[in-house]
Amino acid sequence: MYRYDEFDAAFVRERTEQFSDQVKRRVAGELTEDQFRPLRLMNGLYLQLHAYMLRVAVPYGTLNSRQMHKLAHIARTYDRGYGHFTTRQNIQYNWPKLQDVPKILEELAEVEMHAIQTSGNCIRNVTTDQFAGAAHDEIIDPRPVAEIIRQWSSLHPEFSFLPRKFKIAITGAQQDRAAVKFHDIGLMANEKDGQVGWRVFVGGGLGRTPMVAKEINDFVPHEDLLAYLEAILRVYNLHGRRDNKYKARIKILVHETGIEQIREEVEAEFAQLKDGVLTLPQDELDRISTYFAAPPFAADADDVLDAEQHALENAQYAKFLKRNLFKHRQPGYTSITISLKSVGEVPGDASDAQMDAIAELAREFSFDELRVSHEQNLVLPHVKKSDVRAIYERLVEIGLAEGNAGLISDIIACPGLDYCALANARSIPIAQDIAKRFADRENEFGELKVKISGCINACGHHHVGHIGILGVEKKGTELYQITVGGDATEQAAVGNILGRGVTGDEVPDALEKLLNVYMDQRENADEPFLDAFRRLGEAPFKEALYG
Amino acid sequence: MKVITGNELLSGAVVYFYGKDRWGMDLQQAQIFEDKAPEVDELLAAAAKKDKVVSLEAIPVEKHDNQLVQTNRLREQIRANGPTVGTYGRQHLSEADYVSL
Ligand code: HEM
Ligand code: SF4
Repeated sequence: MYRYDEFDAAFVRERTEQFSDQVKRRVAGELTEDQFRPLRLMNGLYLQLHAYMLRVAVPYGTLNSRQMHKLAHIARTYDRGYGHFTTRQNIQYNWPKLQDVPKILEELAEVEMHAIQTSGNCIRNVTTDQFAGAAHDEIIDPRPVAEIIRQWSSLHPEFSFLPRKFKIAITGAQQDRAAVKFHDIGLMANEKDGQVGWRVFVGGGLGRTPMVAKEINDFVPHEDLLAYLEAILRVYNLHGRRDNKYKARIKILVHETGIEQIREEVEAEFAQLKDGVLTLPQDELDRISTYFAAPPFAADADDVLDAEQHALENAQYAKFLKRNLFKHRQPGYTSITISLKSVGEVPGDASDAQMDAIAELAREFSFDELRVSHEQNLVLPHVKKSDVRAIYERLVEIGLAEGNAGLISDIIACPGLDYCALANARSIPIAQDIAKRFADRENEFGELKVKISGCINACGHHHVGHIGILGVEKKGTELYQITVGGDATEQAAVGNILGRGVTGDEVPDALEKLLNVYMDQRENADEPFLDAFRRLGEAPFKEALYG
Repeated sequence: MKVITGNELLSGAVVYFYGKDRWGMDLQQAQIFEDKAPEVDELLAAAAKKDKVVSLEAIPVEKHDNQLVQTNRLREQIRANGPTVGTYGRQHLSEADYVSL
């Protein structure tokens, strides 16, 4: 895992001191709210419906046990004993008090964490595959490049006041688990002539105008990547619209200008930057890569799960084994998804005690490593197969042993109207109702991604849910629009809206109707919901829902 | 009918204007204004100037049985009662449940 150098440590410390002073001045009345708001947002501090909300960065979703213990400690000491893990691979605290925030930031700095670049019109924290460095299907571990992007983008003076926020996602695997085509820039590892480089996608996004990113370059070598990214950012910074915040994202620029012209302009800018100071020397890449070297795997780890007997005896454990293990590149090892979607609970929430227990699991069983996934779960990336049973039992003790990864109850839900000042409708209770309704049958439905947002900003990724649910407000009541057929993977698709909204109470029934169509018309049990939808088209689903 | 509401600076807690520079967490104690009462804008401007309550707004309310004051939007009900999920309740002001500003 990356360790701060003196430069990193100094700038995080300075930023914490600056913010501490800004808070003092705000409380003393020397700064007005209008002056203070942009300053607090630059430090991840929002004001929500009930209280402040602090968003803490977890760069590319990687944590060690010390950091997780610290997050637990902050939840216990300054908040209400829990934190909310988000689709941006971050954690949010919902109840901090303004005077405590400088102390929280100091505590975070002790473990090399901060809240910088979690808000505002800058390059946000880069996100990646939660199985990076562990996945069996990886061409290259994306974390060294993600870290280099973090260093390049952190407090980048030229890109601190972009037209709008800017999100970069990167994956080194063939299967995209980081939704790269729905980010402002998406990077996918690519092999060409025996060399590994990056396919670059630009102009993806969700929100009010969902767009699938377009490929701007099919191969950028490592050494040129920063110069190429900088070229894209320059073109965006120059031409991105600043007059209308709904048209300010790069997706609109790409859409309105056309990818060919954007490519030309980026290439022209790149020609100027290429072979300059941004060229990444191989020895620097190698140096950063050593931080992410594979842990000392046991070469002779037993490659079979001791599971069969236990699984026969325990259906819950069998389900956990089937759903929550992910194939590791090292024989004898596996990655484990710890679902933060226990049926009836708030998606993504973890208590301080749960965070502490998970930190201990990482220390004991996973070379001190943890990941946050964009699906709002946690991951133990490097676990010996022979330890799976012991880990499972420990997860049962803390109520986080749900074997539902990728199933209908593994829902992404934004905070919605229960917390969010921008919301039109609640998301969390809808997620809870769906999970409760379908949990006993979810195995039959197989892979099914339900995603819920409380407004069109789409923080809950509803556009790319196999079934997406969008909360709207009509005459003071909550209504939910249902979309079908979205896909966040490399086969990226935005879901189709099926028709008028339904009330919150009607959502589980509506899903039941959609699922009945799927169960009746699927070719066989191996045809997933999304494939069936692609084959059948929206008509039968629409018919079932609206007659 | 309207009441004036916002979030208290230090805690972020939802507060209502009780009258005479007093703000507190209890909607029932909020001063009620007629819809077009001219002093609402003046009070909002004065509160904005003091800058100790932020996200200021005048929100519509209804009175039932001459007693209970209710907001008619779900958003305001959630602000007045806390999230509908979990058992967290509301954010509390740092000291008592009202502040003089
Ligand atoms: C303080 C609460 C939040 C606020 C005020 C907020 C605000 C917004 C806004 C305004 C947008 C639309 C941006 C645009 O299209 O230009 C957006 C998009 C998004 N937010 Fe949030 N959000 C909040 C919470 C969250 C949470 C909890 C998550 C993670 C679970 C999240 C993840 C995202 C994602 C993934 C998108 C869409 C991707 C994109 O197009 O950028 N946000 N948010
Ligand atoms: S989608 Fe809307 S309601 Fe949900 S967190 Fe984002 S801004 Fe808030």
